[in-house]
Amino acid sequence: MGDCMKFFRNPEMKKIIFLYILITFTAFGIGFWIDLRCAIFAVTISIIFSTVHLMADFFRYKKLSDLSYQINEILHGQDKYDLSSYAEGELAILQSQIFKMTIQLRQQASILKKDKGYLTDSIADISHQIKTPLTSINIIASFLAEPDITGERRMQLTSELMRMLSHVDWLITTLLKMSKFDADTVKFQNEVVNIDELIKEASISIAIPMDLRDQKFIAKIQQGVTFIGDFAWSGEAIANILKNCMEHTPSGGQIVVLAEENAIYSEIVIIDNGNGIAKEDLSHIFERFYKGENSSNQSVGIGLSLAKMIITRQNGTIKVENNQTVGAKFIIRFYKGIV
Amino acid sequence: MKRYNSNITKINLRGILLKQARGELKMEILKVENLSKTYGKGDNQVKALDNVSFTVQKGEFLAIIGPSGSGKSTLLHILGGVDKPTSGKVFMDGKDVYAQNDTQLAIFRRREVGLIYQFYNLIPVLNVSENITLPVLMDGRKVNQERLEELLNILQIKGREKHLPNQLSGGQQQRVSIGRALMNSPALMLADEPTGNLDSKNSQDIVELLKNSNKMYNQTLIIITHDENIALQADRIIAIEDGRITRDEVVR
Repeated sequence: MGDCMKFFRNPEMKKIIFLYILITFTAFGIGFWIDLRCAIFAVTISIIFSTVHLMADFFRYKKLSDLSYQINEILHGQDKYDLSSYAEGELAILQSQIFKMTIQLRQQASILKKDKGYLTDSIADISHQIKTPLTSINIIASFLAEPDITGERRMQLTSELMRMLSHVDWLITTLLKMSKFDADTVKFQNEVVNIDELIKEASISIAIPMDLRDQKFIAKIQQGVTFIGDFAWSGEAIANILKNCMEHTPSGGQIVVLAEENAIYSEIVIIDNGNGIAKEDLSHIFERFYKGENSSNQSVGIGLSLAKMIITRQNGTIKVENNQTVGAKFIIRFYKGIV
Repeated sequence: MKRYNSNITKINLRGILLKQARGELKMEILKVENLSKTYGKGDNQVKALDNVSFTVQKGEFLAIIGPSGSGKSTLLHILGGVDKPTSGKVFMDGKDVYAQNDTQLAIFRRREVGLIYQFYNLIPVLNVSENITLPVLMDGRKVNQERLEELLNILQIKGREKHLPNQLSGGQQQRVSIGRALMNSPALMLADEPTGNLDSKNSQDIVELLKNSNKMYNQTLIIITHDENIALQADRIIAIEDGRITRDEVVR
């Protein structure tokens, strides 16, 4: 009964009912002018047509009001959608469009929420990474401030301080580079890069720490293996991978770099004989701020991520797998075109 | 006309045999000169091929790579006499392919070219052996049963001669389509992503098959592929981008 009342409250319905009554009376009038029976017939037909039409309208309005009820539910946090009405017709199309829109909006909302969470996590991560060395630096500085300190002790503290500072420096530089990538403001050179030179350049940064750990660096690269890309950025990527390999290889271990070129791509393979990569880390190792099972507490999880960004930008791919016996194997390919 | 064609085949065959006997195996079978193809008119014009020229030696295994829409398939279709170029010429054994009329072209396709597609294009109402022998039947010739047996053995579809295509797996269907292409021992085999929808095992099998027939019959094989592992098995790789050859490298 309530539905009925609501239906008649619609202004366009009021107009139509008024029109129907008018038509019925006119039909009656004209009919009566001919004959009484004709008048009764005209009125009956008018009433039947009006009723049928009003019924049809009533059901359409009922569907509309159902739909508006459902939308109301969704607006108030109900996330079960009634997708059962797969019928022909404008109303059913409207309904399915509204549901599609709702789902899309919900998805966007959840992505935004995830992004926000990611941002918060990132900031927390970065802050934490900078905070740890800063605390050490603070303590060392306070030690250095003491008046009665031996020369030897001062040297030791200063070298520790330098180490901490260079770590923070590396951290911030890398983060800045990544943000440049995110903002897409990095310009890449398109030059012929000699892989032999590239590996030499990239290995400079790890030469001293490798020496300290008594590790061997072996590069077996043929002369004339090249690819088209940016020397400085590629060097950065390779250096980050080498650094990772070095950190996960025990003292006395070795890192081997191989390179070859064919008609489709140029390939660089970096193999270490460390403890390899845990199975559950393999698919996440290039994610930003991802720290594996056996990563050191110095690790931030941005080196490999930056390496991947650089390589991907140069029409390249990087993948990692565990070597058959020991260690990890990074395979970098720079493609010469799209296959 | 028919005589003219069979003469070509005879002369070619004798020529090839003579040259093979003389040890002159390296000969140009296919020569493409300034090939261009445009689709559409006015503003909607698309240049699928832009002044492409290259030559292919007899017995060569050539891979064509490139992004989607770069003109690879158009090139292959023009080589196979399926599609006509807007300008430029294709010479097969020194004969201008597109100087022939439509009927001659159709016969050229049937006898000289074996085409293999990604989606097999088998005739669904014909069984395996009928599909394979179709090019011979269309010529109105008698089917060489020995050749058919040989093919069925090589293709490892023996015992399935009476099956219809929809009763076969994808890999088997592709084998049948290779059989159809090989039936007339064409001089030129063209394959448009023959392994595009097969798993890695089946893909390698199919490529091995094509490579074997390439060696066995000294056929020229041209493959379009997106699979770098397949491309790297070729003698030569041509890369196409925006209708132009960007690289042409001999691998081995």
